[in-house]
Amino acid sequence: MAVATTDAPRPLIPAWARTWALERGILYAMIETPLLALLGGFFYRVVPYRFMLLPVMASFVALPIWISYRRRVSTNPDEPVHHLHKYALWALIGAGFFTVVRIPLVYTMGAAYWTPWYDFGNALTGTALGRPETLLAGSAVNMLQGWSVGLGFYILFKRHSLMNALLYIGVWVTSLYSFDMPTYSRVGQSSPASWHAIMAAGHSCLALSLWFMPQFYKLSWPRLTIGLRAVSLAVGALIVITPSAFAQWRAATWEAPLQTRIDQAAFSRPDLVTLKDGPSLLSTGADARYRFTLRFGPRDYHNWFKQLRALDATSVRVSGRLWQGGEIIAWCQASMASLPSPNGVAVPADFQPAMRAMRFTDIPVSCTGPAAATQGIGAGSRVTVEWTAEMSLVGGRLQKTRRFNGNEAVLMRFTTPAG
Amino acid sequence: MNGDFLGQVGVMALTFGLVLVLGLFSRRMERSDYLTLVAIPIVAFPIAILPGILTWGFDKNGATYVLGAVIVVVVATLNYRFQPRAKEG
Repeated sequence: MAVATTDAPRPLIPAWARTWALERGILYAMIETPLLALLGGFFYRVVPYRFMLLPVMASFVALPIWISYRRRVSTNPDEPVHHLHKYALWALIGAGFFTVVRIPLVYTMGAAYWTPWYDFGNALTGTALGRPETLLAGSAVNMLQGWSVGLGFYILFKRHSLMNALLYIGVWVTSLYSFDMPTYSRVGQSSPASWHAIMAAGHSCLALSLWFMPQFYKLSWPRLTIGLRAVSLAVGALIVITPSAFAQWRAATWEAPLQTRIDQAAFSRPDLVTLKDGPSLLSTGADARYRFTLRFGPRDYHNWFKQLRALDATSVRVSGRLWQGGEIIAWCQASMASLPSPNGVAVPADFQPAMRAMRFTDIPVSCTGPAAATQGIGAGSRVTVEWTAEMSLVGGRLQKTRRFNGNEAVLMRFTTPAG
Repeated sequence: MNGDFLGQVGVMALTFGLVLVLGLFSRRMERSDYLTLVAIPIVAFPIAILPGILTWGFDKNGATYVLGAVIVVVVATLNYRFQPRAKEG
């Protein structure tokens, strides 16, 4: 019995996958570029964050073309491209709500939600941490990321049910950030279980708002009077603006004075510069060479959001003299443009060892004097080290020039035979 | 595995559990949504998580991701298999 067969080749990409990619996948990829920029440029550091903005700009240029094309050819009324304007607005309010719900924690736990914004703003503009313009740029980046996550949910999912929103954003996005932020971003900060739980609560509120917005638009919006619609829009605008405005206000009225007090306390630490090692005679020849070491520290302090930081110092200038028997036997000096600092370490796991190594930092000081003066120096000789160190101390917000002095009689050490 | 590790995993399991109680009344999800929820945590793992685990080891934060991914896949599967469908019309 003859059997009819068809020789039509199997398509490389199944029809359902092709449809999904055209209707949702490509649009989702374009919309998620701000999030990819954050992950690739800020967390994983594949390339600098500013370079990761190139795909963001490219996708936002290509987006209108793709939307226009899909609207023309699409026959599916559920395709996200037909509802993108609504989704974009709802996601914006969701992104604002995600932060608004964390405002009470500023007062109850001192947990400022805007601390990563400085890093975002710094990565984008290169402006200094702690500056209002950096915070403003960071808040825009943060809003763009939240908007991108929310809009991505509306595009990716056919039904915007509460379960889908909670699983995607409340659980999965939280899990992703639970790993990425402590691993790649939270330098000098502990991330206890409560921090993870607060983040989960914030993301769950974002999920709730993303679920609520379509319900509100479908069920309540048509029944509202023009006045109530205006009030609803005003509330939406307030939710979007409040996080940034509140952060700027608290940064000026709480963060800045607190960090100023912390800096002043660090600058005023007693014995910040001390003599660590007394002078050693290194060599004799035409001139005698000596060396002693000053110690700068302890440098560690916790800044206004409890991040462990090191007190920095720049323009370090040391001068001094070695005395013996009422005579100056050597003149000393040292200079350093800046002390090595762990504050530039970008990976959380590398910060603690660097901080431990630099909690105290040595400043070697070289001295030179006439060789003849070494004749009277032998084992057990005491010399007086007189030194002055001037440096610019750099805290989280302030910079201050301080002068330190010392005058100690110590035993001379030898790296060449005495006498 | 220390107390910190178990403490964080325990707190997050409880938090995710409480969060998902809110979604219990959602109807059965669409097949494409179910497949999306199953695929995303699995696809993201080798790209976004594994390099970090290979570099710094499997710690409490890696365990939190795995916990979240397992919860997403299991809850989405339970919802898709057992939850009643939404009423038509």
